[in-house]
Amino acid sequence: MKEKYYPSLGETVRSDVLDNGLTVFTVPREGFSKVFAFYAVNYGGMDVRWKKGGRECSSPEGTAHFLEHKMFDMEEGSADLMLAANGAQANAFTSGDMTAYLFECTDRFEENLDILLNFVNTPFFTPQSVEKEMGIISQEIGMCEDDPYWRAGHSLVESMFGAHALKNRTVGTKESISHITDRVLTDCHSTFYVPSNMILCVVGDVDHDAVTEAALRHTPRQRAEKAERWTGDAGVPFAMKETVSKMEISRPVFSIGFRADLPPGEPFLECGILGDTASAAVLGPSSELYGEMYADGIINGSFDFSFEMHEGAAYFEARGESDRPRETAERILEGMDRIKKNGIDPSIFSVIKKADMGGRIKELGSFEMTAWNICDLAFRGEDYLEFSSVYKDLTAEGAAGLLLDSVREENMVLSVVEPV
Amino acid sequence: MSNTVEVFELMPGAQLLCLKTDKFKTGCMYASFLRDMDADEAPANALLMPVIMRGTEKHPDISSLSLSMDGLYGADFGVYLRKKAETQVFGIASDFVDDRFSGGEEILPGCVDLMRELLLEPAGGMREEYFTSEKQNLADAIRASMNDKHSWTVQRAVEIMCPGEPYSVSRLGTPEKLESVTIGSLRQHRRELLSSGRMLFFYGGSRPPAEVYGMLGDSLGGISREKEQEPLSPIVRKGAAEKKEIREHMEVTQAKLCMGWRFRPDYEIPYAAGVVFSALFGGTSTSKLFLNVREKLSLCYSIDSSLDRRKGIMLVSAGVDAGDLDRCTDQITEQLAMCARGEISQEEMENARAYLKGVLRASGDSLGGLQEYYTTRALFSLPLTPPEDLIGQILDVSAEDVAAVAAQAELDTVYSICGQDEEEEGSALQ
Repeated sequence: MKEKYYPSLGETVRSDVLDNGLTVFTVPREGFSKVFAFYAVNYGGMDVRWKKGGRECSSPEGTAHFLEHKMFDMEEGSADLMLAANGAQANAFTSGDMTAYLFECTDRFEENLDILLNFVNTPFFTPQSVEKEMGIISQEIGMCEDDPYWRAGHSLVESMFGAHALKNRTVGTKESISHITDRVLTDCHSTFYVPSNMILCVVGDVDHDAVTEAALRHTPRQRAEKAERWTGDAGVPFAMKETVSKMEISRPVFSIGFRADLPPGEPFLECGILGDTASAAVLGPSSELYGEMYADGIINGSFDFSFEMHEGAAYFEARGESDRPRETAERILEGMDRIKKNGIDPSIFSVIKKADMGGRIKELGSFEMTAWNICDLAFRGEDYLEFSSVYKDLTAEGAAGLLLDSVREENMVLSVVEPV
Repeated sequence: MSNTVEVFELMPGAQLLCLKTDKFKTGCMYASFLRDMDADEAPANALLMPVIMRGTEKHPDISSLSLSMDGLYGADFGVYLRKKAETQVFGIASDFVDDRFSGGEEILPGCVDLMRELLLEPAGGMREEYFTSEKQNLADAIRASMNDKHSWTVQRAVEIMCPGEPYSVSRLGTPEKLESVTIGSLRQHRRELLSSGRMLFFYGGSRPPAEVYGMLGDSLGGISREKEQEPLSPIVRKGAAEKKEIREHMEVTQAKLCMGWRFRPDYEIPYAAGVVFSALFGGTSTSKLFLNVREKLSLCYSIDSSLDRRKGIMLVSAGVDAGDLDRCTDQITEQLAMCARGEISQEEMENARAYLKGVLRASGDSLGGLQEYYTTRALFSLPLTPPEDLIGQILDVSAEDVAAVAAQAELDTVYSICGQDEEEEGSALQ
């Protein structure tokens, strides 16, 4: 067992890598009654093509998410209900690059952990249950399509990354999921749900060795080969510069994206924090631009922004509701002209860095976000809890440089959902 | 780990609750005003904090205010507004990195200072342009509350059940009452609240309570408070009236149902038996209503119950197919009758007790949860015992105790909304 202490955060992480390749982390939380378990697979909605044993393989769009739904089925019943009967609140999610199964409880942790490890490692699919799930997931796809923010965000990514795996919808389409069979699910489970492609992270007042022993009991002994992710090419020309669709909504919803062309191999943590602080400097509530746009009624409290980074693809996104989305895009570009001329004020940038670091420290209060961040970065070979050491090297010039390279008219895509 | 709360008299009619704890990486500070729910005053209370949060004399706009929070390691200051029985609780909530994790820099003094600025020094004594835009935002929010059909149905049911009682006033107030709020009346209202409104401050974090008391006392010394404060009014208790059954039409794809029961005014619902009853009847996914009416009989899509012990009112709300409204109502009534007759299984009792034990234990794991818990207890003048100390009482509750509570509930109101066509379809089936 390895133990690492992060003095500035008051955090300790204990870890083990089992012979089969599974990584186990525990993050102690003394004095807390609740315990949170997070079992993650380095596999998500992006992964529709991959290479294994020299062979190229593929699966329908939406398979990772479909698999997540079906994993809760066990021969002896639903794992979800078994955990609920034990007082645990269970959940799962699939993102572009991760699938995770999780639960929280204040009692009977060991039993619940056994259930979690057991169901995630034991596929139990029948043609009937897959058929039934198709209807449920179709409903979910319908719900996503009814959400104007989802629609605007998805069109944006589709336009920007036409040849990159990011364009794949995590939920799939009604058409794509119709090709999913119990066989497809079994194959994808055996390809991706291998210990060396998974992490178990437990946050709470638990015995690390007991967690490791439970993991040993429930995972295969042999180390299996990992699949090689296919991401595609993020650099191809945009399919569309602007997309417009219509829905029953009261105000237009927009998403404005700027593709960031980062050199390959950039560290995720450092680059992510640079992207977050840079975007806060130009678009955050404390920026000049935000104050002006809010005062002029071009944006309201729904306005939000982020820097998104995935394997081989990164972009800035601003979203919200506005009657004048095109003007919002123009104003952002004008804000960039100012940065080109004057740069970012170093004293303001140092305050923004402080706020970003404070935000990450506060987020450690959430067991779920702590586990998620640790696993997300560990899959990329990095240590999330090193974040506090990143800030000292970030400069206003560096942030301005990233913005000037990316937030430009030629890198911009606008996606608007308008009222009918 | 048991936490104790120290109570200070910060100013006349303004208490400070301090929870010293090293458990969290963050601290929090709340400044709350406590007011009787009142139809005329509710929109002014709902509007005051958003206007104040637009800027202070020193930080006169969103950008500079936000930058000052960034400088406090990203401290969050926001407005909050709740309704507790017949009291409107509203104010400013802040949370921030605890001083132990800010690299040797003290954050709490800056947060106390910003709280003072917001409370005492709004930009331009509350600028008219901020007032106008936030009044519009509130009007939009009141209108938008109709979009959430579930909570709208509950609000309508309460209005029908408790006309004229403060309990029926909604948290945000009505558009008509909001219309009559002017910048002049809001400024005057703010002055009155500061001089004579009941206030409650809460701090949770690693600082010793006496230090926090000193810091806040010095900072807010500028407030001139009247010696005597008007107490909050006692909660209005009434027995069930003649049963009211009202159905209204709205553009909805799924009908909504809300039923309301009252408990006799001279019956005080005991704490432990009351919460176990509420969990067992309809408060959880292992409750009688959920397992029988939703799962077994498939009569509804969603169903839950809530009990307001102090007000003596229980509400059950459900999302239903219009054609099933009557059967669903009958089944809910029958499930309650079963509780009252003591037809309660050992498993149902165990599930309810285990659920409540988990909730009480977990509430000590979140600073926000602890703030909510202690503020509510202070508001109702209950002893400030830590949440986990209540577990023993919960475990002692018997099925007979639960039945005794259920037997006291008297049905008062059955309210539902459904689309025009659905109802015709529903009645055609009968």
